[in-house]
Amino acid sequence: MLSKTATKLGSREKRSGILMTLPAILVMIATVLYPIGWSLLLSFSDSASVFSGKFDFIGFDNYIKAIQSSDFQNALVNTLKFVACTIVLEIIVGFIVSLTLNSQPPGHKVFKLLYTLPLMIAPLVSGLQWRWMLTDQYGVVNNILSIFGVKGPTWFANPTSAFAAIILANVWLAVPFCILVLVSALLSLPETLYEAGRLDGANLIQEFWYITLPQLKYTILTILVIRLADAFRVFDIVYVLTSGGPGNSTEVASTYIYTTSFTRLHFGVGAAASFMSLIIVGIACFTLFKLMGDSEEDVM
Amino acid sequence: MKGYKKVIGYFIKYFVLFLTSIFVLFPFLWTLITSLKPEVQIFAIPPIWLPDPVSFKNYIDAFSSGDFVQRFGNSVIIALGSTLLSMLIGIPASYGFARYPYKGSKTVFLLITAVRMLPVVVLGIPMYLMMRNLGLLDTKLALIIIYIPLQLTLNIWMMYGNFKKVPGELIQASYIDGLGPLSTLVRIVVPITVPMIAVATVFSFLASWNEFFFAMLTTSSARSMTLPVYIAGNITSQRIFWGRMTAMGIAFAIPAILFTLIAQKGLVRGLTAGAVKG
Repeated sequence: MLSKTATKLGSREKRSGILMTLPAILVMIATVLYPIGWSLLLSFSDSASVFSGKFDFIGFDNYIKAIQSSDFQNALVNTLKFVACTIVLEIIVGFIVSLTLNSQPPGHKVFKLLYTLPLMIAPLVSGLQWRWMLTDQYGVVNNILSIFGVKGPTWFANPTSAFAAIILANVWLAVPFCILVLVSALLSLPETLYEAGRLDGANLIQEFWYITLPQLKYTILTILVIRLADAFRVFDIVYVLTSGGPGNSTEVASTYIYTTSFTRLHFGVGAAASFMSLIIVGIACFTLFKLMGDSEEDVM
Repeated sequence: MKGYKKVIGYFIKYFVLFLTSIFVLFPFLWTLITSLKPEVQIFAIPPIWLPDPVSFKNYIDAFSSGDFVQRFGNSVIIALGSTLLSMLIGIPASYGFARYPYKGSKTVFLLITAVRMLPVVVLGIPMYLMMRNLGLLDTKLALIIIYIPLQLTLNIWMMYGNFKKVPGELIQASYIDGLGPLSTLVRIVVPITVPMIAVATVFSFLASWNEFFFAMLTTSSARSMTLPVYIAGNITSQRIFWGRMTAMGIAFAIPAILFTLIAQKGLVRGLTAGAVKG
């Protein structure tokens, strides 16, 4: 299909394609590709290069330093834990809510509108809101819990609850995305599939497992790619909520790289660590894309 | 029996919907409520559910200090400036990728959309150092330059599908009328794809308005600092100014909410661009 249209296009059309896309390509080269290339050189250079203005190459030293640093290892483990927890929660809540909305009980449109709110709110503000709600004595969450006789934790003093807090703030921000994307994907599913399923006597769970889930494979993978990349680079929420604490129990890759570069001024190590994160995200997204390509063939 | 089952079904459904709505709405409402309380009520234990009396003192404090208003202005200039530029560059690019493919254009398109996946810290280090070398640290221009690619990766991807769906006959007809590809885009295609363009504009605006990381890295004084950085500044090592901060947070969120509601209808379509087939 694509090649057919391409052969039909004259050279003038081809030229207009290049002309129309050129400004964007040049901007991307200048503001993304060039900085990344520059940073790549920096990752192989002594951090002092930043101040002398000349790259002083030291091979893989920065990479080795980063890998061997227990802080970076800790940050990577935390990041992976964070990504896994937040995505699993988002998908589960997303499915429960979107399936409920899809059965279209009266008023479902109002609920759908309400769910869009966090999409407009800055991650920073989400962090502040949760920090305020989870505050030790004045915090509304622990006060509500105490009504039910539950004694809430001192959220930011304990590693587990501090970790739960950043996940909570992040799920709050991201769950609407999952809900809305799943709802519109569910809407696009052909009703005939379900009629066939009902004829075969499928119950609701079988229907979900054998009809809905396989049909939504492509959508789920897309959500995963986007959410994985977003969760992996989480910064704002951690920065405002816990600043990585208590200790370094909520330190993630971004906050580690930030402190290494901008507080300790080890720009070379920071750059090296940032490229290792990039490689991890790249591999994860590439794998999902591969699966997506396969699922596209399945559906067609 | 059937009616009984139906009632239970509805009960479960509304239970799920109400519970999640509370989860989604409560943090924002609580911030709003806090911002409308006088200081003593903010720190009451147990918490006071509704401010009594409603006090606008936190808002008056925020807006009467020139600082907040100036940061507000910076945020507006940077968000509008970068959004305008990124849409001007993004519309023809997205249309070009969708309608006039050339050798390698598909790869370039995928690379541009992949920028969305990039961990921000990867760009943070070089951007900071390069802006420093260019003498652009602490300027509005630096943030506009940094935000444009972040918006382009979003809006080129969002509009692509819609530009692909524009009927070919329409474009052929405008060629016959003597319009070139670019004037076809401006006079024929843009007017019929306005809804999607509006959504892409909203998402680009939000990406810039709500951005914190780069703003914190590159801005330090009144002449360029944006609101997120200023609001976060209410957290000091001694104490946190919750009243002022919640008021600022609400004042900061309102333009984003209003702006988004304009494009409300197409919002979901923007989100799902590419994620839902057919």
